[in-house]
Amino acid sequence: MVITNEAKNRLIELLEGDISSAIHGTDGTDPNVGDTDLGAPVAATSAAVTTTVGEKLLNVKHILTANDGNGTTFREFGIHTMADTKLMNHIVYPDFDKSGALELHTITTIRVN
Amino acid sequence: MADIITGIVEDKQEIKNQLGEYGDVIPAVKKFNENLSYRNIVTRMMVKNMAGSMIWGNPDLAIWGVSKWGAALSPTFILNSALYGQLGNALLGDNGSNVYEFAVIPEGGVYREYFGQSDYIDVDNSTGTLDAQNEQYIMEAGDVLKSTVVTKLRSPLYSVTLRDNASIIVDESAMTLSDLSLGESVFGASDCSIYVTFDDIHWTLIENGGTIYNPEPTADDILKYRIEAHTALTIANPLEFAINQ
Repeated sequence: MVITNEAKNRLIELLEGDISSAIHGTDGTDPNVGDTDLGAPVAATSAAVTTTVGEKLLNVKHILTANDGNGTTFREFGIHTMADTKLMNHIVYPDFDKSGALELHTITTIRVN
Repeated sequence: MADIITGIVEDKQEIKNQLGEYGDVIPAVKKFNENLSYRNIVTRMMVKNMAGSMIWGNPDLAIWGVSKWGAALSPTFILNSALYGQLGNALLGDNGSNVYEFAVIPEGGVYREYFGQSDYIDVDNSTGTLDAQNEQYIMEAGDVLKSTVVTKLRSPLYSVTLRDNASIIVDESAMTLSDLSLGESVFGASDCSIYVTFDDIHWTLIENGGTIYNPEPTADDILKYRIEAHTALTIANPLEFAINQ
């Protein structure tokens, strides 16, 4: 038996339909699989994401605009499902000092294989 | 409770009776098993620095009545400038902004290249053939395969290991941040060489008469690679590099 590429691509399509937004936060604590939210999410950074689908692949792009989150040092990021109910991933990254001259683009690649 | 137990016993007896009616049929149970994995392969963070630009809607730059147009020394949008902001040529706010990679974070510190598409292959500087249909990369003798940035953690690089291949393992255990300026480091086996450029950690594989392939998956679902003497090189997916592990 094999799991067909069509099935894997279908799962990607379903994921694409469910992912809605992403958010940055200020807590640098290592993420854990049991996490249900960021350590210290900053609501002003929450924004709708754009998605592109490839072969068994989904790219999710979030933009922290020049207007948002200025004066804050960000360290964590996560993607939410529809209506912000479920945390899909949680990463911690090097300190990023946000200013009005900077946009932060975060592109997450998800693969079902 | 007694009623439930009685019911279960009766059900079991009924099943036995039904099997007895078809005694010449041997029930066969087969287990079909295939793994399906969900992976957040990599997260890339890009910064767009717009300092020095004329930017509509920006809270810090070119605020009407506060910031002066053209006050910045770096390339900017300047009215009447012979260089910038020319009508019909330059885009408003286009000058002076640049995009750079801030961080590249592979899941679990392991970079995986599946060769499903060319997202992570430096297509401009690679000379082999991507076989996306079969998720592999085909190299003839002398071909070069280069990746885009594999990881960028802004922390000391301790090691880069091509998974489960004892003949091409890199273990630069004493590396420090100062070593990042060294540029390319060469390591590898006799058939293939791998280069790591430490400023932006990516890799280059140069075909030199070897074959890398995955003979068998291991228990932890990480494919093995090994080198044999062949005239062509085919790299099956995923090609994995473990960072700092």
